[in-house]
Amino acid sequence: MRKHTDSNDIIAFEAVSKAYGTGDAALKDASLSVERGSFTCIIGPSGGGKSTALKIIAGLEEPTSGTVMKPDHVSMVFQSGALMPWLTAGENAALPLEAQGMAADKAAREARKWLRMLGLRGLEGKLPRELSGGERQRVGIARALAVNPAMLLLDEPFAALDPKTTDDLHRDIVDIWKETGKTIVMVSHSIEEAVALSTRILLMKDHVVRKTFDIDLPHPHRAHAVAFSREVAHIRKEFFK
Amino acid sequence: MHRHHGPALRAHAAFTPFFLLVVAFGIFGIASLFPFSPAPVAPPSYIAAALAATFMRLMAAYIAAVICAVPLAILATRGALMEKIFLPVFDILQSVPTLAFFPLVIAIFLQYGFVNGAAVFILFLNMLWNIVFSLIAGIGAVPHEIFSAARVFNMRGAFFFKRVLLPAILPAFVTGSLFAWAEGWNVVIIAEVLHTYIPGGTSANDLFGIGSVLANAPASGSGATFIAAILGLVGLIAVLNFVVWQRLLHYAETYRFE
Repeated sequence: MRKHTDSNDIIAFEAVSKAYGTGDAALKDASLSVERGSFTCIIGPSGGGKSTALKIIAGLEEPTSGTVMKPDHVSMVFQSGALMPWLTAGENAALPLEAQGMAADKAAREARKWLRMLGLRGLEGKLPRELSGGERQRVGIARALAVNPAMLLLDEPFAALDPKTTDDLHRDIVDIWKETGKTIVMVSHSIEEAVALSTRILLMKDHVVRKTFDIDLPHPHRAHAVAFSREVAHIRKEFFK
Repeated sequence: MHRHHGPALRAHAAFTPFFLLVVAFGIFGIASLFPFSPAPVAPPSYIAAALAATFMRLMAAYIAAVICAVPLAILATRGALMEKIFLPVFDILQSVPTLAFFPLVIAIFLQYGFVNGAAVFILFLNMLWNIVFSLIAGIGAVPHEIFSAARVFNMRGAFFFKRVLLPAILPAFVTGSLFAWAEGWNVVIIAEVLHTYIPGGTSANDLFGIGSVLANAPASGSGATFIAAILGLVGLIAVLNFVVWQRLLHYAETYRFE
């Protein structure tokens, strides 16, 4: 597998295929690229290959064939939060830092800084089950950012949240993207969410990237209602084609 | 702190008083079967020493079972291929009635003059599979995203084992241990009464413990000793249940995935 070289693209897939032992293909000669510093959203129907693409970027899956260029140091926010139920919010956010060899007290300080940045001041000592769904996702985001990754991956992180919490987190994630300048790649089922957040949308269908859409709207995207609706309608047409 | 209790734990808690009630009625029933006997009643210190000896035997078997069960369960859950290989083997092994091999086990340990080892070994075999299968189920119940998160955040080797895997399977470990001890108490009477398996054996060949006291007291006409031993056994199991297992089950709930 080729690693990241000097280019403005932080991720590049060239003719990447992924087949599982059962013979089912998740990706078939898929090619895609993600620009450094962009907020890219991968959308598409279930089974289209978007989750597999994200797993390959995260290093959780290896491609069967093809070339993948990606940074080594990526971080991920999971749909369920994937927090350890026996650890407090602070301990969860500090755990990856401790895994890197950082001393526990220093890791706790660093984790606390990110938790506070995500509006969780005073909740550092709470267990995940004592937090709301939105707060748990914030802990997951803090954990992902605490390790200072080259790129942040989001695997449908808002799918299980109520609309109000989702809106709040949308604002937060855009703020984080703007403040940190990190590349964000998110998988989503929602066209509206993708248009609201991202600068580029990759539509994955039938195991390949069918279409790429550049979203050229000033943030917050939803504020430009007519243009927003036009983009959503345009992508929806391609989605269901 | 509010903790959630699973249905299994609630059922267990409700079952314990019922079980003790049944045992109490059972003891009165058994006592009525014994005719008045002039045989002396064993002193409490004798019963306590027998309980302690049996407890130590069970503890040794349990520690050995845990040491073997954890790597076996991890090995059997390391991918689809390992599951295909190990799970059928474990299924067969756990189905084999270990007590059928007890005479052979005793003969082997007798050669080395270590009959205590025979009892501990049989207890170990009976405890092992309860822990192994509970741990396999426990590892299977850990959400896949937890393992993905551990990989993404480079939690590997000893760090992963200590900080992620062991806590994640703690509820299953406690449940498996509870079942293992219950199995151990069931088997301990047979495991300590060795003379029936030794050609020409007498009660002198038995291991000192609450199991052999229970087995030999009726034969020696001491119904009172039998009842004292039963009460001691039930009392110890009840104390262990309330002081150790109930607390551990309660504590392990913190580690359970929602």
